[in-house]
Amino acid sequence: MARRAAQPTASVALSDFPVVYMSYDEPWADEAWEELLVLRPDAKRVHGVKGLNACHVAAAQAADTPRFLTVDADTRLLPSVIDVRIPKAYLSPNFRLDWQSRNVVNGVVSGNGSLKLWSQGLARGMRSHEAAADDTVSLDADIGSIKPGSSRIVLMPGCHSETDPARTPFHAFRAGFRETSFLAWLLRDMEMRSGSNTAELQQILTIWCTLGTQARLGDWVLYGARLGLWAEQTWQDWDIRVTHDYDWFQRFWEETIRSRIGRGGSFCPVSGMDWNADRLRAEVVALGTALSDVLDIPMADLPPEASRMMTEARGFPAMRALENLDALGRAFQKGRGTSIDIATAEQLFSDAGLLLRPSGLSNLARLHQLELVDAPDQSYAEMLLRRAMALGCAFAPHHLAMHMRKAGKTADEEEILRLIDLSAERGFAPSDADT
Amino acid sequence: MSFLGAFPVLRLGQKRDSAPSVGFLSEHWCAPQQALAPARDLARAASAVLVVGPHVTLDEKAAALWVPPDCLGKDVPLGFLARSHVTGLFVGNVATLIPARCLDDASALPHARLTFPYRVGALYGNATPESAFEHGFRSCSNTSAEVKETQNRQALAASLGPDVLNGVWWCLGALHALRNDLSLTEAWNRHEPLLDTPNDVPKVLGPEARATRLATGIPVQALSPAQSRALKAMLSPWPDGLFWDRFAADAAGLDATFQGYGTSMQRAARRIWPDLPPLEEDRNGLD
Repeated sequence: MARRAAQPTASVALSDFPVVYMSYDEPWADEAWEELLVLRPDAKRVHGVKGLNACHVAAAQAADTPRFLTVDADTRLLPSVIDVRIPKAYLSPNFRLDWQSRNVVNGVVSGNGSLKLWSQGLARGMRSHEAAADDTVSLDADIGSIKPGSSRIVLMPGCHSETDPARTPFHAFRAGFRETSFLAWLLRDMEMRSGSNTAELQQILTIWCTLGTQARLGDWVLYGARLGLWAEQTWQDWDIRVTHDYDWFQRFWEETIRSRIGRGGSFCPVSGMDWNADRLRAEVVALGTALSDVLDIPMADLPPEASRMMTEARGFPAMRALENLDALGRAFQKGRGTSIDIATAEQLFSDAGLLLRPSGLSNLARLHQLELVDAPDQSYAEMLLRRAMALGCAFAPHHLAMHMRKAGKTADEEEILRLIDLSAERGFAPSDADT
Repeated sequence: MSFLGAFPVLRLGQKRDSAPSVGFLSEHWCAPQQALAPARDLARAASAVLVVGPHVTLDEKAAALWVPPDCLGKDVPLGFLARSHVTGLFVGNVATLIPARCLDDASALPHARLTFPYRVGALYGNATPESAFEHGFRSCSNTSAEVKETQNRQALAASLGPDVLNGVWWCLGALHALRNDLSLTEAWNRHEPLLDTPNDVPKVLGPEARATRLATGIPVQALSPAQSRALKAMLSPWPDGLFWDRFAADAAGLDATFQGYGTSMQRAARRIWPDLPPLEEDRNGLD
């Protein structure tokens, strides 16, 4: 095929946008701020703003520019960030652009600690976490609901930062607890929607609950991670929203966790806290055993060397990297939240297709069928639809049937009907009016 | 239309070794040493033949993989990857789509000149202790970049596996290969007596791993079955980024058709592999 999508080339440098550093209660925040200033002397800072929604509004006010990049207190920029360029087509005021961050404790590359390029409108229009309605569960920045159908998070390629939440026992524990309780909640939510692929979430949970013993305070991350998963799975009357309540978490830490682990010979110079490392390890192991009894998520207790081997192999792909690729392509195709840009849509669908996403192939075929690309090729479209169909796409058989009818292949009516039936079997059966 | 399933499959080995391939034009078996003539006949009848190595089971979805027709027309043998059942890592040299003309004057089955970063099946080879030992040894003694890329990758290749049948034997073979201290036969002869006391096999893994660490600096580990299972559960469903960039590099060495395809693959790979450097054309974007 060697048929390449047109390349959208015009771009701008990420370093052209102002940086806002956000800290709250992290004892290392001043030190990390000084470090950031070396790379970005023009960075601004917001500190001590309570509430994850409120601190982003404060960041928008501090930046006072149409777009700005936020850096969390536990995130460190890597020098490669200097070279990052952004295709201009992505600079929609309705898009938040995210570059995922690598967790130094377990090597996971995810949105946790990611670099985020906000528009003023999105940062000020967001109503998540403490600003969400009382009857909703808001655990993440809900960008999609700001302007439904238009606003979205766009995951950008590359990793240009590291996140290290394990600099005090409290922060290490909180990071693990919040992440796995959130992931487990998400997992349950996805399982309720039939057809959702939960394998990746289970994989990430395995990593959070297994790797980290080689890292400073790694056992605290593991303890938090395993307890967060345990809480989400087994605690009666558990409301996950409390994980974003700073006061609740502080009480939970002081009244439950610290007393359970007890004092001892291990010491954190940053926070001044001491604890019993043997007790902590025993709790981590006991939770692992208990979780293995109730969950089919593999986890194990590893010596530090084995944990280091896996973490440093850098074998983890970007988390949920392909989830929104097609949706973003359709946004460019239809001008939802951005200008219509067929070349960019074609690029996104092409990438998705090469990564064996059947919907990417099907969407790319539609660009040709609808003659939206510069040189539409109907036989190429048919080939793409057949590939998508072979990979299990629900829509492709139907589109292929319509394609054959339009091409006047009436002799193939039997196959056309068979294709329509196949789409219906796979869950796609539009009414005659729709087609 | 060039779905992989449109071609006949020639499987090297004995039929009892593996489950049948589903969705392909036809399936044939022969001994590896006698594969050339049947491969040539099958390829002539269908323009190409998919030759599948011993101990490889093809996935049901493999037949749905698509091969660009203009790549096929270039008379270049095209390889695919499999996932090792023992280590969970991706390995090459397991299945090759060979166009008919590549076999016309060949004196042996040609190797793939370009390997697609797509999985077509699983590699076993652990049916007996001796087989597992040999495959483990060979997987780490061959100098292909699949395992030589980094020390941590090599460590994983020689540490993962104790959760499956004869997986510890696999690891023992792999550790000797990394140490490069004995030939395959010598290494096997050293450990063969353990066949009489199978409960002792896991006990030698720790000292062998330690010896390998000391001799090579490669951070291999002696893992329990539960540890191996958990680490394998973390492995990506995608072949490593290096497979994608190697595809592009090899494609660039062929011709413009392949090169264009390679660049597209490189771009797509950057969506999933965060450590791959940006492409030159992205680095030098226009303002």
